[in-house]
Amino acid sequence: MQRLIIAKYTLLEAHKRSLIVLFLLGIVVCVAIAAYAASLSMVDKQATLAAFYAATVRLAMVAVLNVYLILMETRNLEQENTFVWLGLPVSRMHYLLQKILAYSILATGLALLVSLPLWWAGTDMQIVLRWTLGFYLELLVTVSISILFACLFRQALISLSAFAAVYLFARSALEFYQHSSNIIDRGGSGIEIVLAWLVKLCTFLVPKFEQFASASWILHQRIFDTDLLSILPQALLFFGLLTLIALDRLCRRGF
Amino acid sequence: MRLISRFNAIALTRSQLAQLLLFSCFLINQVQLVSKTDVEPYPLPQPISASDLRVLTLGESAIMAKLLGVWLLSYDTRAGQIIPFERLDYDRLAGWLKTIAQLDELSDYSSMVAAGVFIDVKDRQRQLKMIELVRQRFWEKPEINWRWMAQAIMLSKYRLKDISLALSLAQDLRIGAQGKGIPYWASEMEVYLLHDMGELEAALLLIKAMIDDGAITDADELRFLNRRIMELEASMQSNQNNSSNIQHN
Repeated sequence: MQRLIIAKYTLLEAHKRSLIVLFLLGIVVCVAIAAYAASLSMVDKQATLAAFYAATVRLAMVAVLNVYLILMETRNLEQENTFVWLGLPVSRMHYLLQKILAYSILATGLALLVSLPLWWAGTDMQIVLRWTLGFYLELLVTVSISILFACLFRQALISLSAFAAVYLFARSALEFYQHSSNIIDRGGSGIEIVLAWLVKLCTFLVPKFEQFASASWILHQRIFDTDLLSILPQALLFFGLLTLIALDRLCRRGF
Repeated sequence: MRLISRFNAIALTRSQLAQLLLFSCFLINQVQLVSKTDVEPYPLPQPISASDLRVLTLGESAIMAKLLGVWLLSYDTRAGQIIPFERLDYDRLAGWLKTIAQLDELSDYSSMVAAGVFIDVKDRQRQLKMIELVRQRFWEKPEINWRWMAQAIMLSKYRLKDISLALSLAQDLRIGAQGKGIPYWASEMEVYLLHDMGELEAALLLIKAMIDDGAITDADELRFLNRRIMELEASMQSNQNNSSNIQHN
């Protein structure tokens, strides 16, 4: 247990700062928004409620967890708190891995917490499980993105902006890919084609979050267009690579 | 004394009083706007293509389709008043319904509101536009939209009193239904329409063609159609007898 002290204190800090309360509050707000949207819908009110909840809670919880992570880690790096931690008999690799472990535990708890209202709304259990797994993998990848940006930029505002840009782009990556392919096929002006190729190239550099989880599975009670085997390697690849880059940045940094 | 001291505690400065007055004026203005009796309808904006909207949906295009559906349905309600559908631009409305259908291809929502809500106008041109939209949607996804095609057939026959339109829709339904798991009664609507039109021979030939085609495999359905053939043949025979009796007399 002594070896996992950094992970333990990261979790304790999250508890001290009432992160769980914030998660619960977010879930309640998302349920309220979904209930309002479902009340306006003419048909399939129960499925609409669950689908709206899934769409809003996915965005909200990714934002809450990653904003918290970036704020805490940039503060640690800015105020040189990391230096104190590294005074313990742990290597920098251990420090980073324990941080990732702590945030992964938070992500696991969050994914399970978020899936409860879906189950309660009467969504098919198989769909709930698949959606929750996809959401969990998305949380893991976003945690690695946030840690990398925190190590890379060491400033909260820049890290948050970069995270928001990458996350929102990754959420629409397939659509951007399709859109730029259309422009290239249509044959626009020179600058349009260059930009389209640039956007197309960028879509290869980000995870395709659209495939991870979708509210339309819940709305139509059916999983389509995606396979767990296609997203699992994608998530593991991005998670591993981003963690390695973050580790490299942390090791190069002088304290 | 205590009351006066409390009043002093909430006493306002001049600038705060001015702000309060300004806010009150704004509120009164808003109330007047809302209570205006003759509300000008906002024109429906130009529809945005589904491919453009998809980029903004963060991969949740079905949710965007739902939101657009709610927005479109509530478009006739402005400032507490209901504006008749006749004042909506139906070309734009059809464009928005098409966008909704493309955003969520597994949903029959656009066909449902076209055949169930927006068709509820007195203007024939607008009704026809909605029926054409249902027909288009049916050809795009027959297995999802066949119910609303059947609804459009009934509306064409009974509300629009246009049996030739109903017949052409029923023909489309029969052709599009092949191999899509659509109930037999829906694809047989053309037969009933032909019967209603007095085209007994055409109805008979159609049933025979459907049986010969091998599209109908259900034994009960085949028995029902064979009985129908016998009924039609009997009707035709009695018609023939009646006409020969009239000629003889």
